[in-house]
Amino acid sequence: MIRVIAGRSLESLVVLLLMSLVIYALIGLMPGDPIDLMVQGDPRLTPADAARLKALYGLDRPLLERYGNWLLAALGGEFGYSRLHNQPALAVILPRLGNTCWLMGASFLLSLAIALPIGVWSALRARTGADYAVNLAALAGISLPTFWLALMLITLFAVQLQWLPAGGLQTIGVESVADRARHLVLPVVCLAVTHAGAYTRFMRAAMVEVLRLDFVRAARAKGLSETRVLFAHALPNALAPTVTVVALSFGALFSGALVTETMFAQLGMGKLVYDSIMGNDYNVALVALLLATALTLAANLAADVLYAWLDPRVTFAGRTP
Amino acid sequence: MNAPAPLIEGRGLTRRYPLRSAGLFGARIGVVPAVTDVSISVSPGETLALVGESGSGKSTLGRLLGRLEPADSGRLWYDGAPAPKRDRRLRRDVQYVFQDPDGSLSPRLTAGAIIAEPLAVLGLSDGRARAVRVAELLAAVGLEPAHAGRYPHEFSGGQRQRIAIARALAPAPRVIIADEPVSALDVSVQGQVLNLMADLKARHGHAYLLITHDLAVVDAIADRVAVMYFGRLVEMGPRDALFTRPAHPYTRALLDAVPRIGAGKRQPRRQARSEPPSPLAPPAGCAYHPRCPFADAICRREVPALTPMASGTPGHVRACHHAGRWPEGLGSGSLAGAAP
Amino acid sequence: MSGRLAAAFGGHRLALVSAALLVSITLAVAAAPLLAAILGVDPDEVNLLARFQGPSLAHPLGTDELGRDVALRLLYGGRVSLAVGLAAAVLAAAFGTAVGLVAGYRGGLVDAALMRLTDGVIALPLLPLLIVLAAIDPAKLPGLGWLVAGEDASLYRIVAIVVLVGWTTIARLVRGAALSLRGRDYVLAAESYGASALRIMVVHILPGVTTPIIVATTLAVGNVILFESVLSFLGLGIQPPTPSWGNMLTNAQELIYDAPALVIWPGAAIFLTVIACNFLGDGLQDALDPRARRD
Ligand SMILES: Nc1ncnc2c1ncn2[C@@H]1O[C@H](COP(=O)(O)OP(=O)(O)OP(=O)(O)O)[C@@H](O)[C@H]1O
Ligand SMILES: [Mg+2]
Repeated sequence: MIRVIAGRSLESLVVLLLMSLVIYALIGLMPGDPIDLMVQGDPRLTPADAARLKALYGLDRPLLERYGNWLLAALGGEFGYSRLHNQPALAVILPRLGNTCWLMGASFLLSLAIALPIGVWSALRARTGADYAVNLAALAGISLPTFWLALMLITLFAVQLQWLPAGGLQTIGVESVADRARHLVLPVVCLAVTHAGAYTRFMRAAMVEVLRLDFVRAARAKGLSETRVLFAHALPNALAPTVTVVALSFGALFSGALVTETMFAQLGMGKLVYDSIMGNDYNVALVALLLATALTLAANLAADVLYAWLDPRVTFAGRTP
Repeated sequence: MNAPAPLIEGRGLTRRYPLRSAGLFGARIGVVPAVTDVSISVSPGETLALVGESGSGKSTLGRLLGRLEPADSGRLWYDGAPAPKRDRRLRRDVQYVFQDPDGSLSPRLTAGAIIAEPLAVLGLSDGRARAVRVAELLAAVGLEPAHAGRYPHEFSGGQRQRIAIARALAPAPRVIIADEPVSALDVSVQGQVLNLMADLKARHGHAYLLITHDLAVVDAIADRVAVMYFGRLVEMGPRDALFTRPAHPYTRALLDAVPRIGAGKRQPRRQARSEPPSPLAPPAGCAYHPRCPFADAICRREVPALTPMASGTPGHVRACHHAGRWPEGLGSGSLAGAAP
Repeated sequence: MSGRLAAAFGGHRLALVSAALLVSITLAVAAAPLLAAILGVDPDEVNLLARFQGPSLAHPLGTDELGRDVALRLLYGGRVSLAVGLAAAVLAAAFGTAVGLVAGYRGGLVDAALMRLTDGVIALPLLPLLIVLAAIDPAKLPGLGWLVAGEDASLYRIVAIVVLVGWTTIARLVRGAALSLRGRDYVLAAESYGASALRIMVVHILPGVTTPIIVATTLAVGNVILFESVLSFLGLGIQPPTPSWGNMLTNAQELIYDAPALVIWPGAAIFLTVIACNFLGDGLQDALDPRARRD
C-alpha cells in the first residue's frame, strides 16, 4: 500500500514536471514579453537596447535552456518577481491561497451538505416523481453558468434587496469575522450551487448501485431495520465511489472558484491566475498555475488513496480500468 | 496408404499464456503451457479431427494454425515451405469457423457485408461480381440470397453458423479450421450443420481441421484423428486404426468414456484415476502419468516422444513409453460395431 | 401504479421536450439573418440615441447599452454559441474516438502512453488552462498564423482550444469499449483474413461504441457552450462586435444597475440550451443503456 502510494506520488510529480514545461512554454507564447512591454513604455529605448536587454535576461536563449534555468531557480525557492505587484511572486500568491481555501472549503462543505442527503434520499425513491424532481434540480445546477448565477445573486441580494455586499473580502476599515463572513456568503453559495448538482448525481448513482447488490438484499432479508440496512450497510459502500469522484472533481471546483472570485472581487488564487494572465504578470501566472495544477494532482492522488482505503476490495491496480 | 504432401503444417508449435493477478499491472503469477512443441499437418482434402478433454489446448492449437494468434516458438509451413509472417496465400487459403456464431459475426454488419468482407480485404472480386458471389455463398449454405440484407440477430443460431461458414468459404480456401462448430447450437440443428459441412467439402474439396469433443462425430466424418493431452499430442493416426487399436492409455480412457463406442467391453479400472493436473503445475515427465494405470519411473522422468508403432498402420504415432507393452486385450476396443 | 408509470416516462418526456427546445432554438437562430432582413435591422448597428430602450414592437426585448436590438443580437449570439458548441463537441468526440480506438485496439505500450496522457489532461484545472490557451498569441506559433487572420478567427480559435482539452472523456469511454471488443471472435476473424487495423477499428469496433459516443457528445455540447460563454464573458473567447451569449454579458456587471433585463436574457439563453443538452443526453443514456433501465 505504502509502496503503491509512493509510486503514484512519483507519477504525479512527473506529470507536474511535464506540466511545468508545458505551462512555461505556453506562457512564453503569450503576447508581448517583459522587454517588449518595457520598450513600449519607454520611447527612448531603441531596438538595439531591447536586444541587449533580452540578452541580459537570457530571453534570446532556446526554450529548453530558459526552462532549465527557471526550474533550477524554482527548486532553490526563487520564483521571480511580480510585475504588477512589485513583490516576489510567492509573496503575492501565498496570502491569496488562504482566501481561496476559505472560499473553496466552505462551498465544498456546503455542497456536500446539500448533495449527500439529497442524493441518498433520491436513490431510495429511484424512478419516482421525487427522484426525477431531484434529477431535474441537479441538472439545472450543473447547467447554470457560474458567472451568470453570480450576476443574478448580486442583482438580487446586493443590488435589489441590499442584504449582502456585492463583492470584496471585507468592508474597508472594518476588521471583524462577521464582516468577512458576510462577504463570503454570496460567493460560497454561488460556487456551492453549481457543484452540488454533480455531487448529488454521483451520490444517487452510487447508492442506487449499492442498493441493488446482494448483501443489501440479504441484510433486509435478515430482518434488519431499514435504518440499519441504510446506514450500516449501504451508505458506507456507496460513499467510497462518491468520495472518489468528488475528489476527482477538484479541478472543476478550482475552475469555478476562478470565476466566482473574479465575479465577487475575492482576492484569491483563481482571480490571481486570471489577473496575472491578463496583466502579463508572467512569473505570478506561472507559479499560480503550477500551484493550481499541483493541488489538483494532489486531490486526484487523494481520490485514489481514499478509494483504496474506503474499499478494501480494491487491490490498487492501475486507475484506468 | 501413402501420406499425401501436407498443405499446412505446424512444426514445434508452442504457446504459453502468462497468468496475471487481477488488474492492469497485475503481477505475473504463473504460466499456462497451453500448447507445447506440437507438430501437426493437414493434407489436401482430408478431415483431421482434433480431440482431447477441456483445457487440453485444442482451441489454442487451432488458433495458432489459423494465425489468430502468434506462436511463442515453432513455425508454420505452407505447401512444403516455411510460411512468411504475412502471407496472403495463407490468409486466403486457411479460414476459420468459430464455436459461437453469436460472437464471431459483427453485430452491426449485415450478413451480406460479413460474407463479402474477406473478399474485399483479399481483393478477390469487386462490385457486381462480389454481390453475385455473396448470393452464391448464401445459397451454398442453404440460406436465401435475400437474407444478405439482414443483421445477425435476425437469424437463428444455426443460420448464424451457416453465415459464418459462408464467410469462411468465401475466398475458396483449401483448409477450414472449425473449432467446435456445432457445440453452441441446438442439438436439433447440430446434425444439419455437420451435414452441410460434409456436403460442402464433397463439392469444394477443401480440407477440415475439426476440433471437437464428440467422438461420434469424429467417427462419422474424420479421416484422421489427433489426440491432445495437456498441450501435447499424445496420439495421432488414421481414424480406424486409432479407434480400433488405441496406442495411448489416454486415448483408451477417452474411448472408454463414450458409451456407444465399445460399450460393455471396458473395465472400470481403466477410467481416469484422478482429476486433470493443474495447468499451472505441470507434472514432470509424461503429463498423463498421475492418471495412468501403467505409469512407472521413466514416465515420471521423461517426456515421451511421438513415435510410429513398429507393427501399426502407417501414420499412426503415439507418445507413450510403454506402448505395446501393456497387457494385451485390455485396450483393443473395436469400433467396427459402433460405426454406422 | 399510474404514478409510477408517469414517473417512468418522466425522464424521457423531459428529454423529448429538450429535443424539441433545442430544435426550436436552432431554427430560431438559423432564421436570424432572415429576421434581420425582414425587420431591416442590423444587429451590429450602434444607435446611441436609442440606448436602454424597453420592450417595444420594433425591439421586442428592448435595446442594449449601444442601442442595438437585444432580441436580434440574442439570435445572432446563439448562432455563434451553438455553432461553437456543436463544432467543438463533435471535433473533440472525433479526436477522442480516434485516441480511444487506437489505445484500446493496440493495447500495450501505446495504450499505456495514451492513457497516461489522458489522465494527465483530465487531472488539470481546466478553466485556467483554457484561459492560458485563449491568451496565447498564435502569431508566435509557427504555422498557425492563419488563425489570427480573418473575421472568424476567434471562433476557430475557441473551437481549437476546447478540442485540445475536451477529448479525454470520450477517449476513455471508447478505449474501454475497444479494449473489451478487440478480443471478440469477429475481430479475430477479420484479423485472420488480413483486415487492416484501420478497417477493424472503423468497421468492427466503432459501431459497437456509437451509443456512449452519442450520449457523451450531447452532454459535451452543453459543457462547451458553458466554457465558451465564460471565456467570451472574460474577454478571451468570441471577440466583439461578433455577438455571443457570453460576450453579451461582458459589461453586465455595470449594467446590473441600469438595465438588469440585459443581464437576464443571454444568461437565460445559455442556461436553457445547456440544460436541454443535459436532459437530452441523460434521457438518451437512459433509453439506450439497458443496464440503467432494469429494476
Ligand atoms: N487467452 C488465454 N489467456 C490465458 N490462458 C488461456 C487463454 N486461452 C487458453 N488459455 C488456457 O490454455 C489452456 C488451453 O486452453 P484451450 O482453450 O486451448 O483448451 P481447449 O482444449 O480448447 O478446451 P475446451 O475444450 O474447453 O475448449 C487452458 O488451460 C486455458 O485456460
Ligand atoms: Mg476450445
